[in-house]
Amino acid sequence: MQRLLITLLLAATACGNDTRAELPSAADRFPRLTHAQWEQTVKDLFRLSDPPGLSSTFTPDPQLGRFDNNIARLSITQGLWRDYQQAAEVIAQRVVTDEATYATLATTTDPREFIATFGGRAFRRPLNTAEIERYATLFDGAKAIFPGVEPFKAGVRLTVQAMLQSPFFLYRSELSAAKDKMGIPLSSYEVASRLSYLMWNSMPDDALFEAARLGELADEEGVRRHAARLFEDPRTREQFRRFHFQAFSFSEYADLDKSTVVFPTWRREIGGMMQEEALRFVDGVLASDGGVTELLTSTKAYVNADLAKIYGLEGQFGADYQEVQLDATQRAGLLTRAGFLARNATLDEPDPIHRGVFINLGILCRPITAPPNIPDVLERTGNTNRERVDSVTGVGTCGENCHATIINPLGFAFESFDAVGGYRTMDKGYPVDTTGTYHFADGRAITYNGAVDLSKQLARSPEVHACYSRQLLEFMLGRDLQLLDSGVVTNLAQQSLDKTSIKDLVLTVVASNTFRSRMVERSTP
Amino acid sequence: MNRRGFLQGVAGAALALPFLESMRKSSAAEPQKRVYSFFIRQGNGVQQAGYNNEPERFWPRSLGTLTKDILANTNSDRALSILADHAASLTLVRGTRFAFPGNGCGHSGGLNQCLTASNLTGEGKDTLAAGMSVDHFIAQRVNTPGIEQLTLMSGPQSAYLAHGLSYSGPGQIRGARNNPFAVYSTLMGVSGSPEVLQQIATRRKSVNDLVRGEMQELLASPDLTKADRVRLDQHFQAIRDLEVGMACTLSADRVADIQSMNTVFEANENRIKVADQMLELVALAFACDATRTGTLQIGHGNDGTRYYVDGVLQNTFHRISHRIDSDGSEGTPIPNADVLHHGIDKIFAGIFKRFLDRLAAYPGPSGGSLLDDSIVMWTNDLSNGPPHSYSNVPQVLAGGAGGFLKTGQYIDAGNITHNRLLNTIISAVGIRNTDGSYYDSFGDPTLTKGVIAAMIK
Repeated sequence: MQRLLITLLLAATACGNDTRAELPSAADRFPRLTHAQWEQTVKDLFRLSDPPGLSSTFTPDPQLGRFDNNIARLSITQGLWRDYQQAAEVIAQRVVTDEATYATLATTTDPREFIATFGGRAFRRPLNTAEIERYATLFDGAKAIFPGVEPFKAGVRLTVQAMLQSPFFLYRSELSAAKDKMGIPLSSYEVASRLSYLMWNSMPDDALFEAARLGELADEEGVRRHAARLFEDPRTREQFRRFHFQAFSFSEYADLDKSTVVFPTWRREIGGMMQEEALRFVDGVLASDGGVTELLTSTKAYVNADLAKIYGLEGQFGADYQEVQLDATQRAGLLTRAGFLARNATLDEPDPIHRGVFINLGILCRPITAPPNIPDVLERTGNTNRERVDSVTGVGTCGENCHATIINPLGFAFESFDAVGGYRTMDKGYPVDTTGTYHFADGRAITYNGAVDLSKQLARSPEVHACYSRQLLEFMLGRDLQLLDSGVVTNLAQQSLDKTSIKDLVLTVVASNTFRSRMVERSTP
Repeated sequence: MNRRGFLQGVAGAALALPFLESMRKSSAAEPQKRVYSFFIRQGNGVQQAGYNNEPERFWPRSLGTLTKDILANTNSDRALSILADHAASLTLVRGTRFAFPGNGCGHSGGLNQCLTASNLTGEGKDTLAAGMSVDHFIAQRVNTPGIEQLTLMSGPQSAYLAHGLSYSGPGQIRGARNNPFAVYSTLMGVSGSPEVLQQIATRRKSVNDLVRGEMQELLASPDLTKADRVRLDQHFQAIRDLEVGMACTLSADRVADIQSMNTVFEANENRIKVADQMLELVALAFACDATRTGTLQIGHGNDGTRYYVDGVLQNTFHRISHRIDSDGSEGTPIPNADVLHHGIDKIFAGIFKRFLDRLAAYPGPSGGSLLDDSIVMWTNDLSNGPPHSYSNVPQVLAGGAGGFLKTGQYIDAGNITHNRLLNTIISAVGIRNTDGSYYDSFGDPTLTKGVIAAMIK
């Protein structure tokens, strides 16, 4: 099994972004705060009740890499620098004019003490003497350029204005440089930031800073202990919503169009409900210490009246979401939920091709050769949707190699779900055919009848766990994976296959050397 | 402290506070002539002849001189007839093609090369351009150092290929702003007494000096990877002591209108309005010389906006462009899809026309209108719908580039690669080879060099 997983990993690496090796390579020493992290960090730095909301006008990051925290996206252009400058000035002015906030900053009358205290939180590590002196000079000069302002207040304002533009605030700088035989161990403060940004998308809290100060994050056990504490905070739920939202493309659920001729009760808002349902489903799996197996097989759902109708549920439902059990003969896991099914459908018909493509790419991490450019519209024949799709992409057509063998067999298992995700046994008066055989990349085959059967078999397939593990690690590290990460992925995949919970997978990673140290150069494929 | 007490968000606080600096620059590095350039991308091709016996509904009937009468009357059935008022300023160029085949997705292949003329790396949705785009090339040469081009889009940020038009280097996509009010915020200047402006500048200078010191120390670290160095150096170079002063402002009612989009700028229903507002801001930025070039991508990669044609909300533009109710190659045919595609082309022509109207209404630096001193292009990442062809890409240009271009004509470039069109634009803004000849080598080095001579006076 181990060998199989490694082979899969290597295959996925080689087929993914190999050409990007020629492009600027990712470095994991200076990941910039994402805009979401910037918001949360400013909120926590000044102990505000809400994020400031300024980053909505920041220059957006380009879509590079799979997740929004991928370091490849996180550069500072001229435009973004100006955004930071402007935001820093607005915030600096506000924190000294708002008395409550100013009181939390001005706990001393000694500029150096203020700089050390506030700076230590802004930079997420203690400042050295030279840094304190540098900022003390700036602080001292402030009274001349804020005429009429109380000198200490002027100093605080200018220091805040500067620190919010400092690279040590804007990047999660990892300055440790001494190598040991496993790589470059991160300092306790650097580990604290990795933990807090992973779990909370924000800076460490006071307890985590204290743990760093006491050196409690220097070993595996300490990191695991503090990570377990962080995991209990509600902010962690938000973070893993963020991960699954991106990994499973939930964003695409929100904006769906359906034919109101075929589905008279369809409204645009239902797409947003499907998205919310999917997020609550993920919450539920995490909260019950579930793992990848539960993501693919759980029958638990969270539905309101509109969704209950799609699932054919009887009983009283309102606008609120309530937990229900779906019919286990019809539904198992995320792939049988309305969001995935409706997203991968046309206005009125299921779309087995896109359902199959997503499972290959998103669930199995199996690269698919990109399709040729669109040929002329082909004439479709057959009675059912499956027959008609098969007539233009199946055996004997130009789509034989990809569609007939890799894509369609997975998608056809979901023909028992219509274009909004409702269960059906008939299609245009003919019984639906949900049988299929799928060959994995190594040649192994699974044969199934229907989406429940397929989902359960996928949940037992090492490929699925390796794929989830790859994505999880990519998100946790905020960069594309490299060959040297394959050991961690293999380990995670095996644990996941053995039904380890997502929470424990996360704790395994944070305790690992990969998370607690900085790997050396990117290897050349 | 609650959020309301702390900040009103950019809508309130930033507008009220004099903290935004001017992008107006000193005139020290003025080129001899100021020419503004801009690039607008429509997705999904246009409805033109060449596929499945669909009639020609885009290009005019005959090559040669364009007049208002020729466009408005002789070609009233063509999408470009919408531009009749500006016939004398137009240069319509058929016969250019993209040099490199798409890697699996025609949209990403076209989007990535339409302004870069570079080869592609990666596959499908992960395709990236291997070179910088023309707006970045121009901005680096005609803008004041520290002043970026405008990189804009109208549409949702989370969608497929929401960015892809503007590149600062190989694989380096630039994120595009999609909130017009945020764009306005960056254009608007500071008002205040000379003393106040001086204080702001002094504070900024002292902060910048300190941060530059920190950056220099980081850059001097011995064990930075190449990517670290590129990242930090880009940041270091971005730190500028810009002049603080008045810049570009719109009337209060226009600001209110733009601000009204502040939370709904991604909505399908606002796609055209946001595009119009973005172009209003582009014209404003050019008029006050805040920047001299930029891009606007309308809709995401395979624009899935549902436009209204003849007052009726239609299927997504992408599906209409495929002529079927599917984002792939098979699906139920959409009735009259070619006519609907033509209707959407006319919508884009309308957006372009209103942009030209605005440019024509501002005075330009050389005494005529701003349009006379500009060269603006409405381009596409495909030439047509279902075949997703890269040949005969619709290239619609307007503006005289300060007398450089021979406008008022419709030409056939003769099936050449479109890098030569981009070379012509680069030359039109005043950039030359070191020997003084027209700039001729933008994009992939294997492409045939040169400009399109027929476009030049």
